[in-house]
Amino acid sequence: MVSLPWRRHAPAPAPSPVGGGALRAVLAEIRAARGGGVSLTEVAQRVGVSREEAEAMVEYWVQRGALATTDLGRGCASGGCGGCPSAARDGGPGCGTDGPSGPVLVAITVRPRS
Amino acid sequence: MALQDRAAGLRRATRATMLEKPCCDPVEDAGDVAVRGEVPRVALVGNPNVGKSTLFNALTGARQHVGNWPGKTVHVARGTWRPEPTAYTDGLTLIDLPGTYSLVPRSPDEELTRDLLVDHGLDGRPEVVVVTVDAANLARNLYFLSQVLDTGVPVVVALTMVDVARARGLKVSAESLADALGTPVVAVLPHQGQGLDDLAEAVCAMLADPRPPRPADLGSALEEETAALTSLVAVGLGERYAPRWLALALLCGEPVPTVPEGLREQAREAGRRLLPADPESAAPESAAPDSTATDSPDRPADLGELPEDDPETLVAEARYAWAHRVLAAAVDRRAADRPTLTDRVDRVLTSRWLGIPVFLAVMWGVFTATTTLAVPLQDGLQALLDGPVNRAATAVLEAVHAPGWLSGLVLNGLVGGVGQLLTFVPLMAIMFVLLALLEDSGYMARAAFVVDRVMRLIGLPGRAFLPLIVGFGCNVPALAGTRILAHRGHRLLVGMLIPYVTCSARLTVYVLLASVFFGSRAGTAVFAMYVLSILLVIGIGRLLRRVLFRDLADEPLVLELPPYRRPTARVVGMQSWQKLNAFLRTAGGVIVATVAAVWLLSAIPLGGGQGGFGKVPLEHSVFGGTARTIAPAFEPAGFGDWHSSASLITGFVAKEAVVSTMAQTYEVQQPGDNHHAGSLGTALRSTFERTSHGHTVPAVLAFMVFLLAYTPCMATLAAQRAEIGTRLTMLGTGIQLAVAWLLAVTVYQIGALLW
Repeated sequence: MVSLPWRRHAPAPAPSPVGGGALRAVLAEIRAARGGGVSLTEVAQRVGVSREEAEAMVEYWVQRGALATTDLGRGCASGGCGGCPSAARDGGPGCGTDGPSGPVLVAITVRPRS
Repeated sequence: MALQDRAAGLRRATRATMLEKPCCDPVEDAGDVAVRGEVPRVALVGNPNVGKSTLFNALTGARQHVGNWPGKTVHVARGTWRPEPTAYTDGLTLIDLPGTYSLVPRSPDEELTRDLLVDHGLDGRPEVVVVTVDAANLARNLYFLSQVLDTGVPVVVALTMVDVARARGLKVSAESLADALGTPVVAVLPHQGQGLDDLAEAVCAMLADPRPPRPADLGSALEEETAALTSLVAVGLGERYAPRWLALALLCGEPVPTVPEGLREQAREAGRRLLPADPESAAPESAAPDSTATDSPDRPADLGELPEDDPETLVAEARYAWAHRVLAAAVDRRAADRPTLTDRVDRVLTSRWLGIPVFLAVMWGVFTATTTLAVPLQDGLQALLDGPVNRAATAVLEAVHAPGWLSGLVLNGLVGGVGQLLTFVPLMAIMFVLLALLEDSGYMARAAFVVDRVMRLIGLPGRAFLPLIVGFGCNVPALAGTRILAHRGHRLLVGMLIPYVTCSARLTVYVLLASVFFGSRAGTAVFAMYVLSILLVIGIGRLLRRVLFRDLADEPLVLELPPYRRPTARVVGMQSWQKLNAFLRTAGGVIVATVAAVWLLSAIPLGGGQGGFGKVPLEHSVFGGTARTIAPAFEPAGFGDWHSSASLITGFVAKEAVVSTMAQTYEVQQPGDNHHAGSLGTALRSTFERTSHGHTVPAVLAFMVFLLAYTPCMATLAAQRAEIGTRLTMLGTGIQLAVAWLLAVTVYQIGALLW
């Protein structure tokens, strides 16, 4: 497990006797990731699951509304080009961010608690 | 052992429930079903994108049709599957249900799958369900499978994407998986037709001897409550719903129709028993799932303080723990767990200490390569514009006896202004290609990763880096991009910082000045502007956060880094072209309009006695007079000349217009001049030497710094106003002008002491 001293970590929840605690531990790790430069692979290592399991758990929390994932490939607002001053007359992007994209960075963020 | 007994009891109970059904008894011999003329129904279910429809097509061929499911607006494909040899002379009806992540439905598609598997009694359910499971993403697929196992419908697992998993270093054993699941598992490669006969054999065997699947073991505490609830719901509701599924659904608080309130309350009570009485009593420990299941006590001791501490989370947690155990039994991860090339490279590129230096070195390389490679191309274009193009335009204007004002507009304005900008096309193209190469290789994602870390260290919100990075291309979409920030305070703060991100339009001015004044170090000078831009964002950001946004909380953020890959010509070419095209379209429109406006204002005399319209010397026109009025403000910065201030005025409209205004005010394209490449450079050198009293380098640097820090363009102001409001936009503009002037003066005054 990689120890990253510059990150501020909230303690991960203790394992649940019912289910093991990994699911909530993933959520807790993401909520604690305020130090910047934290990858999902690190989260998986800290929780003790494979990266694929961590991805699946993130998907679960996204469906539950606790997390949100954002494709950072382009950076435009989710509303598209409609409200953007750079939009072309046909409603398409006028800023050059159209077209195929390379490998995409995905940000996993915490949704505000209701 | 107790768990095994409970599972066996459940199997018996489920079978008994099925035997109670009046017709279409799935426990009957398959031959009987065939003799009766009934066509068994086999449902194909699975997560989206696991190869389910490919498998469906491979199994049914052309014998299929797609239509809405009765009573639903969900498209479902149905076809006839004729496995051979088989007792089913009419084949089997294969139903391709929509891709589903969970039997807790969140869309009409998922609702249909849920209903078909758990609702409408056994008559309405398929005889067998084939769960398509992606071997490369087993964890997520097993979660769904665990829910299907709760339905009691006999299950056969079709294991797809085994080749993809193998390529990722994952060896998935179908035999071990079958043992762990207690359910037949068949590896299939539908594209190649592999495993289809085995799948048919497994499904026919299941039809002939239907066995309810072994449910996922959710741990003793949960199993106990589930078993109790299952026995309760089986009475009365077992006719309609799959009992174990219904018990777990009620435990999770799902709104299942027709369930009496008393039963709901009993489920809620069961859920409360599973939740901890005192969440704070337990000490935090490691959360590895290996520490679970077998040695866990019967009652949970700690569920933390998360709001998601509800029975639904407990059940999901137990399903993932079960999936973890199945994975451990069936998947050999040794090759996958070895560090990949991406891992090894990332150790350097995203390291805490080397990440930022490497990023800066890469960007320095980009700008140096850009300026070095572009020089011969720019010179060639400049010579073409100054020579043949200018001569041709002059000849045409003379041939049509164009009036003097029209010649001035065309030659000074369009050929001079637009032409100057065109010389930057090779430069922009090279830079866009280099940046696209970095992006397509996956490096830019790493750059964002290390920049994010720096931003957090200085107290800026994590996701802020994204719109800021977009701002290096153009500030306007970057401002629109602030909408991805969840908190209003973050949006306002980042919206005020984006103008300090140096956009590609400013690059043209940097390159022009750097190539004129810094020669072989032009790339370094341009790079320094980018570094300064980042430092300004950090510095102003910290300042604003302390003064205006003191209450901002940091936002958690985890980034999912994509693997590196070899850049493809298509993606690089398309991305570069899109950006270059957008730059040219924007710049073209802005420059033509600005050139026309500058020309008009330059033709109007300032006061009397200066000649008529179009006959006034530029310096004494309305435009020149305005620039001369502003110029003294820049004397402390070493560039107090009207030419410089004139270009800064049009730069307020758009930075793309700065170079064209320089060309216009110096009249470098005026007929009768000795046109040659670099005539604008000569004029600029002369001006800066004069205004700086010999301290040319600091004066040029001060001009570049001012250009970097003051208001980017009118479009940015409009976008800023839309995103952060009029008051903050005006405040931000004032701060930009003050910061730009102070920095320029500081750079010049300190620089003059050194150079």
